[in-house]
Amino acid sequence: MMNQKMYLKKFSHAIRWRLPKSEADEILADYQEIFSQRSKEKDNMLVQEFGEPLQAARLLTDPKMYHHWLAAFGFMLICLLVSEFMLLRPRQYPTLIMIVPFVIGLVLTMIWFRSCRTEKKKSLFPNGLLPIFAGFIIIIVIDIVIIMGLVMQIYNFLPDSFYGVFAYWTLELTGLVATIVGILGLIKARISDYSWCSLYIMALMVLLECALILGVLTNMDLDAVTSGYWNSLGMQLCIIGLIGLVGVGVNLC
Amino acid sequence: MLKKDIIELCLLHILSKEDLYGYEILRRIHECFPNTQESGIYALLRGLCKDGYTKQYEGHISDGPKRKYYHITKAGQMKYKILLDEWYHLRDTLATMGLK
Repeated sequence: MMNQKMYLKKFSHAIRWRLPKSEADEILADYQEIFSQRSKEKDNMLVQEFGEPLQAARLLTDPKMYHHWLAAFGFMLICLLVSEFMLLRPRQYPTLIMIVPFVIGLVLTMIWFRSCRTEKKKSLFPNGLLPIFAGFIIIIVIDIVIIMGLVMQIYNFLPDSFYGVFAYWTLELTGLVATIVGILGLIKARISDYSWCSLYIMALMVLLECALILGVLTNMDLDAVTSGYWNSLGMQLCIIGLIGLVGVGVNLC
Repeated sequence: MLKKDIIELCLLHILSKEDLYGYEILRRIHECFPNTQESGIYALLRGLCKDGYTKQYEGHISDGPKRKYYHITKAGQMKYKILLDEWYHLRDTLATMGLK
């Protein structure tokens, strides 16, 4: 048997996924008001009288708007997965091609969630975002320390043959975490608070940077990997990082 | 005329008599149409509100909690008349066919 609390929780997830936040909030407030006036003893009739939560949410969905959201979500997801694919199949893809998913993902989130940014925020970090954000940053910092250490060859205890494998798996695992965090951020941005899309932007940024670094590390053209090349790569990483952090900041503030 | 239109007609009809809050509207309509789920009735009520046929305002009943009341607008009254005319037309058409 589903009680009012369980019903509202399931309904809330369904309606927040299907409708823009402001509309979903209004409907949830109406449902809470209606439920508050219903006798708790009638809870066993809840599904019978209101239908399954998903079905109830479907009745309130504007199909056109929902399909727009699904298309936007699909594109944002593809941007993330294309970046992950480039990391899983490391090659020196042209930089411009590698940057495209990052730029499209960034622009799409900015456009899609722009109306949410006008709403007043209760706090900078909604519930649950701060620990995940902090955890993700710790992973990125560990990743940077490991890669920098490998490049500077400070890990004397590691045999030379392990350097490449160690760097490869560090970047691959960071990329995998970024993809998972990015998808979570995108879903939570829709159903909870738009600030969560800062995680998505950060994930796109991390994936792109990991793919760029791995592309260089797996490059067999030794002539290309000169100090000038490293400087140019460092500059690219800094610019991407800066753009990504601005995007994160805009979505958080 | 679909069942959806008939329920919309009933919603506009009860709101043309008095302003009511959500739960009371659902309760009254559900009493007349027990086979129709309340979520469906709420969806129609919300649709009418979105289309500007009704509007919401916050009101109190004595010593009671704040409630969202629904009020029929001018556009809603016109829609009500159109739906009512359709209903009479349908009823008369069925009557001419011997369906009563």
